Amino acid sequence: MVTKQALHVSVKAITSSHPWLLALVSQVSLVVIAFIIQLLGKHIILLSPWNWIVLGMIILGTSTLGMWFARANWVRWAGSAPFAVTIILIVAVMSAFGTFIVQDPSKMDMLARFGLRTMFANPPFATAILLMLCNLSVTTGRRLALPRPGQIGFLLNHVGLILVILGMFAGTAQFKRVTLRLHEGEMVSQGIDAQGKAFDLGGNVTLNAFDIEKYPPKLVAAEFAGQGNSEKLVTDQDWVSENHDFTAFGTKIHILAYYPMAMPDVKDGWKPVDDRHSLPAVFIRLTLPDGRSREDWVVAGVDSLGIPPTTVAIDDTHVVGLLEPEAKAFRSHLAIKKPEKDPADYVLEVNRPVRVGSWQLYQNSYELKMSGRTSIIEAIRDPALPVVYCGLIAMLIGAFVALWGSNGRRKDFDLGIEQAKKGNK
Amino acid sequence: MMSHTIFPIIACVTLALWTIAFVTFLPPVAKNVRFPLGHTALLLGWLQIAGYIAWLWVVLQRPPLRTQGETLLWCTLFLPAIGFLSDWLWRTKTVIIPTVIFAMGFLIATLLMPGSLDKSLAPALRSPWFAPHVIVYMISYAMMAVAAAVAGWLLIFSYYSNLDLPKSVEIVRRLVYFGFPFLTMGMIFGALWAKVAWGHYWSWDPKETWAFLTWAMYLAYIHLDRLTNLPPRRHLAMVMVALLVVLGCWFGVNSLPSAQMSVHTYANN
Repeated sequence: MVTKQALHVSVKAITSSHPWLLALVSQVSLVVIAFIIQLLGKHIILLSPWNWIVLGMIILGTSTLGMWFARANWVRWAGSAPFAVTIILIVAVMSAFGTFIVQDPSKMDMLARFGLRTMFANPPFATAILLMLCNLSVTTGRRLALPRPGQIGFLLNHVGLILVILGMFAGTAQFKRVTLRLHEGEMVSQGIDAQGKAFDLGGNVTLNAFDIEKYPPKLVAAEFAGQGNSEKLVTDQDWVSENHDFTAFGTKIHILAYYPMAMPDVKDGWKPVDDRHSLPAVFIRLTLPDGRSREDWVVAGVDSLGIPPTTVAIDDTHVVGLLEPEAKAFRSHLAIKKPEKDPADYVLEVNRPVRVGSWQLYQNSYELKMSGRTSIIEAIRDPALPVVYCGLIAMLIGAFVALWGSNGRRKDFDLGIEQAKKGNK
Repeated sequence: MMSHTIFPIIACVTLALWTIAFVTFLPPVAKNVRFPLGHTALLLGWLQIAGYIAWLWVVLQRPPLRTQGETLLWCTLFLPAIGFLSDWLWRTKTVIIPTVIFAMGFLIATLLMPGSLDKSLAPALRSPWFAPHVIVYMISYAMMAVAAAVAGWLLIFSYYSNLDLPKSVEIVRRLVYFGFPFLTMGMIFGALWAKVAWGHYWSWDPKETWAFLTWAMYLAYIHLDRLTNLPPRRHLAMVMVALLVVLGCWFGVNSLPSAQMSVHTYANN
């Protein structure tokens, strides 16, 4: 029969003689077990509120163990450098693999069969993160029981990271991302998720108008090198403006007129208009190396509408063209009607989300067609966000505290090492 | 017309000034020469780079932080400042020489790979988070680059001279401990910005993942440093390896096939 004393001695022997090996073997084993479970197709999905309850119990349980058994060998090992560094490196290696392999759930190849196309959503990665969470909780509990200098920075950083992992983990089950494809004048009250399921937005969203603000276009001179369309761009990256000069292939190019919005005109070539279906046009004068000059129009095309650009040939192999202007901002002018409230107007653009009930709307993309403009909006609901933000704020303050303490940290190091040495004796 | 015509002149003058500074910082040069001449040359070069960045900011009508060339320029700005501050704060000459070498290397790299002076900024980058996020990262990258340079310097000299390695390692440790909070801040600012721009604070995009990897490497180093008695040479080697991950995040990640689908493709020049 194994006595308590014998168990204590053997745990101490294992954890103190080979702490690194023990950490590596135990953690890798758990990740491998999770991998086998994944291969067998057994997934455990905890729905709210069970995800919060289970994760909360894991955090509370491990931190309580860390506090109560702070001096026990196995707790010391679970909160030790070997355990922490090994799990950090395991998560890092798995993350790196996730970037070497293109993450695409729609692909159905051998890599997908092993879960490597959805690395960050699979049981092995979740297990590694869970082990990291346990390590953080045990260490925090131990630190509360055995205070040391630099306590505030330590607690802020560790508790912050615990909250971020908790919010990320628990939030995954409740996180919802739906798409709204709105044509101008159209109204919707539901968004569609990636699986085609409809979700009520808790209000009606109408797209009154969609507008795109663009930078002025850039003028380019291109050389057709050999066969096909291979070309070398020799360009000034500055935007076009009237009376602007540049030289390419020995030819001087002078911009005589620039119309941001123009339409073809029988008499003058192109004329300025106030119409969003128009194109930017530039009137240029080419002065060739032999002194001859001529004037012509260069017009940008629109790829999405299939309108080709109008270029001007310098000679047989060189042309001057106008690049399609780049988008500066795109905006959806929305009218949102919430239940029992009057409709209110909002302008939605990138970096300026709009809230509708529990959903937050984000300007995602757009489509331009001859038939009209379509705004692609994403609605996102993430109930765990406050927990993550609390964690991020704690880590941010922890970063400042750490920065403040960096200069005089040497004393802490010595103390820490001395205490660790005493603890190991 | 905007062009890079000013930059080669500024870069060459700065390189000349920093070469003078570098020579005066070498051990055989007397202290009374080092202070007025070396520090003045370093400061004059630094002011030129600072002035050029300020000029770019005004002319481009956006923070000059979009292209890799522009971010290299910021590192060139921060490196001598770190060298100067460590010289002043910690009374050590160990840092300033590698920082000047690194700064000159970064300046030459910027000179050899001139980016276009493009005023355009993608809609997602038009955010108040843009400048603080990238600047904080550049400060941390510069700190880590200096730490790795000093580590390399010490590692080489430890084999040829009677260097007090444990004492010298303390400088490397301090640099990493100063740089790490900036790395954390950069990652958090990025997460907060991503939430506002794309709706989620973390999506395991290749760039985000490599930012996490960088952070994880230094986190592992700090844990090893604080909780174990890391031998000085292994300590220095680890700081140098960690910088490789930083370089992978800064330059290498864009070459990965998975990065073609990344939402962080603004750095491609």
